[in-house]
Amino acid sequence: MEEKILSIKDLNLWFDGDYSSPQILKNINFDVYKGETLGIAGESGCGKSVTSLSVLRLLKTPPARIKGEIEFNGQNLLDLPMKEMQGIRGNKIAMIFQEPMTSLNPLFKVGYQLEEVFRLHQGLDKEEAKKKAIEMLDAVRIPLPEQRAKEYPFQLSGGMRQRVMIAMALSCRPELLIADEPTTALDVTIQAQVLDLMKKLQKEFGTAIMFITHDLGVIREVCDRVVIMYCGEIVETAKVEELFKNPSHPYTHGLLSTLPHSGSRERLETIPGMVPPAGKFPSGCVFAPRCKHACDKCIKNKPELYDIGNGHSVRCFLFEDKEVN
Amino acid sequence: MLKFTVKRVLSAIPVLLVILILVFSLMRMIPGNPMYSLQADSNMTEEELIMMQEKYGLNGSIFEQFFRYLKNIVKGDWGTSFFNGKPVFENIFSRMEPTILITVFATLISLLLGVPIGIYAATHHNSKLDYILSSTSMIFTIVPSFCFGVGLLYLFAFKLKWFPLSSYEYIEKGGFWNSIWHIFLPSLAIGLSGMAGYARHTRSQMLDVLNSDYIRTARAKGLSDRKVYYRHALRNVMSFLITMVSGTITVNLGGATVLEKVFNIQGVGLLSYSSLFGKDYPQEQAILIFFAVIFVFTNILLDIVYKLLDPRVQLD
Repeated sequence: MEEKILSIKDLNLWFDGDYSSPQILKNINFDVYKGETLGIAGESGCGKSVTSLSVLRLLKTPPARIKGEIEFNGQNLLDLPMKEMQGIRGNKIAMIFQEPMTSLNPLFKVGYQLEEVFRLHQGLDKEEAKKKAIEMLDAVRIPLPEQRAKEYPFQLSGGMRQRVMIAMALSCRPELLIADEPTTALDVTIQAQVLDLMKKLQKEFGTAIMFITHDLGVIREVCDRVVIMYCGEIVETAKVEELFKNPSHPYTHGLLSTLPHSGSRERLETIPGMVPPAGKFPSGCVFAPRCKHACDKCIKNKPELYDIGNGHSVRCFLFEDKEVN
Repeated sequence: MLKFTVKRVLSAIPVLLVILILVFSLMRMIPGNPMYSLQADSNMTEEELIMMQEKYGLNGSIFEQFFRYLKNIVKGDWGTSFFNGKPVFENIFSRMEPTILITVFATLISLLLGVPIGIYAATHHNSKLDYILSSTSMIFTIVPSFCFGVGLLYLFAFKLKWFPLSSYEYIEKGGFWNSIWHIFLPSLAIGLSGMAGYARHTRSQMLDVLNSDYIRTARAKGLSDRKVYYRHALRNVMSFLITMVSGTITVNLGGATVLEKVFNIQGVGLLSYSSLFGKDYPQEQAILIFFAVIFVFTNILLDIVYKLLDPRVQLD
C-alpha cells in the first residue's frame, strides 16, 4: 500500500442557523495517497466543495460546526492552532477554485500576488520572490511571464487567470492540491489545456490532487480513484477504470448516463428529481426518492458502505449480499 | 492624466454656467429688493435710487441684468459687494481660511474615526461591540451637527474652558495649531455626524469584500487575518471610501456654514449667511460659484486618487 497523506475520518458537518442546524456532511471517510489524483464527484449541493473547504478550514465556524478528524501526515488539522494552520495553507496543502474571474484580488499585480506566497512561506526577499514568481508563471506555460507579472488580473483572460491560480497553488510544491471545479468556468478548449497542464505539473512536482467536479468525463481523464457523493454522504468509491467498467450505485449509473457519447444522436438522459435542500435529506437511503430500484427497505433503513472487493464500495442494499469478508 | 484634467475642467464650465443661472434666478425670487433697505436708511430721491440701481446693475429686465452680469464675468469682473463695496472675491479670499480648515479637518475626523470603527465592526461581525458601535453610530447620524456644536460649545468652551468661546484667529497671527485649536469644536461637531456614516458604510463594504472569492484565495495562501484585512480587503474598501469623501466635502461645506453661525466664526459660511439675508446678490452668487468650483476640483482630484488605487479605472 502506498503512503497516505490525507485521511478523513468520520467527518460530520452542520451549519448552525437560528432555527435549525442542517447536517451537510455525514460520516465522510476517505484517504488520499501520495502522488495520486482522487476525484470527488456529485451534483451541486452534494457537499463536495464543503468537504474540500473543511480540509483547509476555510469555512467560518460558526455557523459551520465540524466533528471528526482530518489527518494530514498523521496530524489532525482540526486540532491545530490557527497560526500553524496558516503555515500549512498554501505551503503543504494548496487550493484552486472554481471562479478564476473573481479569485484574484483585482487591485494587486499578478506578480505581487504570487510573490506573497514565497515571501510568506519561504521567507524570501522581494527580489528573490519576484524571480520565483516569474519562474512559476513560466512553469504554467504563460507566455512572456516577466511582462504578465506586471499586469493586473483584469488584463488576463479566464484561462490565464486559472493558470496564475495554479502557479500560486503549486509555488511551494505542496503535497496536496485541492482543485475545486477548476475547469468548470472555462471554455472547453481551455479546459483541456488546463487539465493537461495539471497532469504534467503533478508528475513534475509529485503532488497529490483532490479533484472536485460534477463532470465524470473529467474524472475519467485525470483521476486514479473516485468518490461519488450524494446528499452529504459517500455513495460509491472505486478506482476509475473499475467505476466506469462496473458502475454499481444507481446514482452513479444516473451520472454516467448523463455523459454524451460521441457520434450518438440520442437525447441525453437525466436523473429524475433534484438534490433535496440541506436539512431535508431523506432518512433512509438518501437516493431512494429518485431511484428506480427503491423498495420499502431503502426508504426506512440506511444502507452501509458495502465493500464489494477490488477497492470498490457501494452504499446500496442491492449490494448487501455481495459484500466481501 | 493631463488630458483628463483639462477635459474635466472644460466639462465643468457648462455645469458652472447652469449653477450661475440657478443661483442668479433663485436670489431674485426671494421676496424683497436690496434697494429697499438702502432707500429706507437714507432719504433718497427717486433719481438717486435709479442711479443706485444702475450702479449695482439692478436696472432693466432680469434677462438684461443676467447678460450684463455674464458679460462682466467674462471680462473678469464678478462685481462688488452691496455692503462693503469691495470686490466679491476679495471678501471671499479674506474669509475662506477658517471655512476650508473646518471642512478639511471635519472630513479628516470623520475618516480617521469612522473607518477604523467600521473595520473593527466588520472583522468582529455580530460581536457585542459590533452591536454597540452600530447602534451608537445611529445616534450620531440622527442628531444634527449644530446640536452637537451647541453641546460641545457649552461643555468644552463655556464650562470647562478648554477651547475658546468664539471667534477665529488667522494662521498668520497665532500659527497653525492655534487656528486648529479655534476651529476644533465646530470641526468635531461636523466630523462626528459624518463619522457614523463612514463607520456604517465601511462596515457593510468590508463585510461584502470579506465574503469575496479573492479573500478566500488570500486565506488559502496562508496569510494571517491581519494581512487579509489590512492588505487585501482594506484596499478594496478604500476605492469606495474615495467616492464617499467627495459627497462628504459638500455636506461639510454646508455644515461649516451653520456651525460658523453657532460659533460666530467669520468665515465664508457666515458671509454667505449674511449675504443671503441681506440680499447681497453679487456676493452670494460668487460664494456659491466658489463652493461649486471647490467641489468640481476636489472631485477631479479624487478621481485621480481613485485611478491610482484601482488599476481598472480608465480616466479617458
